[in-house]
Amino acid sequence: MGILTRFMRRLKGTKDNGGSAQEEIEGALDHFIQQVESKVKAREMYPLIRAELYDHMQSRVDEEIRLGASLADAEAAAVRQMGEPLETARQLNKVHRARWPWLLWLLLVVWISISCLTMYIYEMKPSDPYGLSLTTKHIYMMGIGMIFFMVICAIDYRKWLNKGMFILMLILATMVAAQMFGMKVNGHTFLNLGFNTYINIFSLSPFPLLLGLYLWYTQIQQQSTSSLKRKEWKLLFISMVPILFYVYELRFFAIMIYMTGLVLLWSKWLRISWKRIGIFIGMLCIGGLSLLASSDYIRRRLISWMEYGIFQGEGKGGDSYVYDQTRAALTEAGWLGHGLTDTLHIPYLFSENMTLFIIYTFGWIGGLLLLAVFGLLVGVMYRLAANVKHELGRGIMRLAATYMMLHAVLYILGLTNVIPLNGGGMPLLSYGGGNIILWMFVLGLFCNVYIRKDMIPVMKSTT
Amino acid sequence: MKISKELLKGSTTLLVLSMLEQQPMYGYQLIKRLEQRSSSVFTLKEGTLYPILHTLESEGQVEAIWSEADGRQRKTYHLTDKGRKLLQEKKAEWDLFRGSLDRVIGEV
Repeated sequence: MGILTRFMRRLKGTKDNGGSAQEEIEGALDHFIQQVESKVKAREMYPLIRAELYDHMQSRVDEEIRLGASLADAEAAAVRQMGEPLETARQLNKVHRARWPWLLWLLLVVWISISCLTMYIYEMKPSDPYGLSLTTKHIYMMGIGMIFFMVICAIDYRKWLNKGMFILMLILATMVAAQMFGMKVNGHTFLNLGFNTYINIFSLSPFPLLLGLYLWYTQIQQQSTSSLKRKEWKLLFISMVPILFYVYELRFFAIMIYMTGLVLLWSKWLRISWKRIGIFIGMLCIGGLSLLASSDYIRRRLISWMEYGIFQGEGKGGDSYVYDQTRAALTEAGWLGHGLTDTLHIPYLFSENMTLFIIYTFGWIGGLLLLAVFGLLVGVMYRLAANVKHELGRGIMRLAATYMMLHAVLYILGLTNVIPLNGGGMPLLSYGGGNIILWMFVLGLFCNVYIRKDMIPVMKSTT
Repeated sequence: MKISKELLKGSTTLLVLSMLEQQPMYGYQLIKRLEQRSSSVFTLKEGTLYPILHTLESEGQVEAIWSEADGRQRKTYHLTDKGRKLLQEKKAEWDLFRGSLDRVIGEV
């Protein structure tokens, strides 16, 4: 990396003060390169294109001189062999341009259409208590989400690099504020942002926290090596703090998704260390046992899960009512479902369990088709991420794709009673403005990286 | 005898991938090796090589490493597994094309 960094710095210095490096690329060669550059649109690629073309032409000059040509003749021959500079620039513009992930966008349109259509069908049901406002609000929030998506797409993702700590602290501060000033609705804490806007920060926070940790760690790696260990431990400590909030708030879904994401991040960036994993598992056991000992609610939830999982029992009512009904609805759906006339009576269905509603209405076949579309969506995301050379960008894309996949996998494992989780929903499928905006942020960030993939210089060096 | 530009244009990716299959090369080296191997029949306008290499790099078929040589920065390309797969496909395509062409013009 050293040589290239020096070279880039040298070229940058040249531009700043019109200095001597420019003079190294002289006369005819320089004129040719400038003509190419003047027509290449991806300005950040200039230093690398310049270096490569210069090396090529200078190699030709050296050979011509070895064969007995004068310097002027050798340079003229080098330029002549290169062909038309504007044609080279035109061809380079075909490569170094914005890349639009059309297939992903098409799949997203399909997914969002399924989401809006499901909401519409849900409201058509005979016993719907919510009138025709849900679909309208859902589409309205999708519209706001689209604006958010476009704004995130427009901001160069590399500007996020030094914002990791800020994102972490902002989310943690919002969690504290929610604890202090928030209001409880059905056991969930909402923070009032004013203008009649309430956010469920605890369910929205895992992705920004994981993103903040990733960005902060990447920044630490780039900055220094002297106090790297100390900074890593600091980061490790801070990464534990949200778990305390989630446990206190009994946010099982958030705990699962955040901790799974955390383990994946550690295994990649903090390198797997048995000592750290031991500490992590130890903390998990202590936290889990104290939670189990302190909460009747959790004990009842676990018993309910075991009854379904082990004894295939019936619902017992009380705290586990939603939990029991959800599993019963899944079992009763059958291959073809109950169609549009039968209604599913489960609280918060539209905000937590629209996937279940689809399965109940269109059967297991409908559920499998839904999973197929989602699998395709995530598969395309991973494939696009693999084509990105910029490490930070590729990391962000993989984080976004993994977060989407984790969310869906945990929800499905909960729904099928493999793990004791309830609700959470598939990305973008359920009602809820905050959730829609978060998913649009995740997808906007993902597309942002892909769009710029061929306009950003990436250098791998032997030294 | 000179080869038609259009004929060469359709096979440059195959030629570049074939060259890189033998060993990693930088642009100028690739051009020279191509000229030598084809007894100067395949002579590209050298500026057109880089968009081809950059396209292959963008699609993950080749990877590039920067190093310092002769006091200059040099970008050396090498074939990836994806590139090897593409090369096999291009070779199969070329064999089919050549066989069909030979049959039509009566060489075989």
